[in-house]
Amino acid sequence: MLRKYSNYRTFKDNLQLGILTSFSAGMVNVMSVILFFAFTSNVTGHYAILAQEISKGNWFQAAIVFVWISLFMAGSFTSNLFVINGKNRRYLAHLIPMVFEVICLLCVALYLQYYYQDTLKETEFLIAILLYSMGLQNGLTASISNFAVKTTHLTGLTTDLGITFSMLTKREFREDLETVRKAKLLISILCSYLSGGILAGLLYSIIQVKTFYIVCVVLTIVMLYDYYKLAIFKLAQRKQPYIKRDLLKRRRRERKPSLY
Amino acid sequence: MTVVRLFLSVLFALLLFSGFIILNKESPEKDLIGQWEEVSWEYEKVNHDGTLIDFQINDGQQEEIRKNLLIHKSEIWSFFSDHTLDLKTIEGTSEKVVWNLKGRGHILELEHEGKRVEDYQIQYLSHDSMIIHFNFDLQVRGIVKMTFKRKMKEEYAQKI
Repeated sequence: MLRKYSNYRTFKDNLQLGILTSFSAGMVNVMSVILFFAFTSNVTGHYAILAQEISKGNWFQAAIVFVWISLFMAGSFTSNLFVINGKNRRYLAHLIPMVFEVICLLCVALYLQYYYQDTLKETEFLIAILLYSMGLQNGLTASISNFAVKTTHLTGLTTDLGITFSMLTKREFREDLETVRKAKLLISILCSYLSGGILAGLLYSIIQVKTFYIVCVVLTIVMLYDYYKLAIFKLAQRKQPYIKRDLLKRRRRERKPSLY
Repeated sequence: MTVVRLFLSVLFALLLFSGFIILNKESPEKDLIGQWEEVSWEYEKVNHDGTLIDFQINDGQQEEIRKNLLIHKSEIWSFFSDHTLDLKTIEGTSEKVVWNLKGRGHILELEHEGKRVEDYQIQYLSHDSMIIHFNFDLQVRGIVKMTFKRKMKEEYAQKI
């Protein structure tokens, strides 16, 4: 899921990454709405709010919203910085932003569980951390998948879905594997985001803020999946170096690079 | 490239400016502390036949709606810095609840005893007036717009 980059990613890689990360983004967004009355996985609404607060002359609120938006951008910036500077150790470079994200979410969960006093300053600060973590995730998934997978907000996705559906009204596109795969990927991300949100809402009524730990578990699965695959690959190479290398080379030659 | 540099410079300048505002301007929490007196109740997006022009309602209607909704019947709201809110009712009784601001300071959350929670949206807050909205979907469709005026302290009034 995380190991491969850009056009070398297969449809399956993008699908797995899209499903798991959008599921966690859906959970985080619903949790932040329940707890803080603010969206943290998307910033479109925040831009509208920023404009509204400026027009009302509420400078304090406008400043807060501006910092939130900047932190989402800073998250994407950090992710891509690791991706473009880690070409030699690709898995590690793709892993670090996700580790940062999990650390952010864990900090929020622990703070909420043990220290949260319900003050406005705390609320604003925790929203800021969540926006940064979602920026990290969105930046990572978008940059490693060549912008095919964006998992934290659905505005672009819904637009793409509308366009793809309209394309599918023509037979030539229905027979085009890329278009069909794109539709499958977008539908999967959409459903996964929604499922994450619903599950978070249900879980919150049972385990409250501990729901954030579930999000961390989902993201840890994403991280460990590739580690597990790499470990198996290394083990196989050690046992049957020539056979495995040959097999992998043949597979690589057969595989057509795909955007979706 | 010049455009990008310019954009980044503006972005950093705005970030510094935002930091300055956040550090120097008073948080809405401080603006809220004090005594507030209910001035009016208005209903937006109310169900009507199109002939009604004035959305302000009289005391009888207000009382009838208050009976059926979870909104408390209070005239004087006293916000204290320890996050307690004293709600003085029309009959003279009072109730203490816990208040918190959420979001960017635009959501007023009131927690009653027994963990019953009411959420209001602060539409306008200045030194002497406050407008809050209460969204509900119970028996009356729409938003209750509650307007408050800050009650000056008695000593201050006496001095004047």
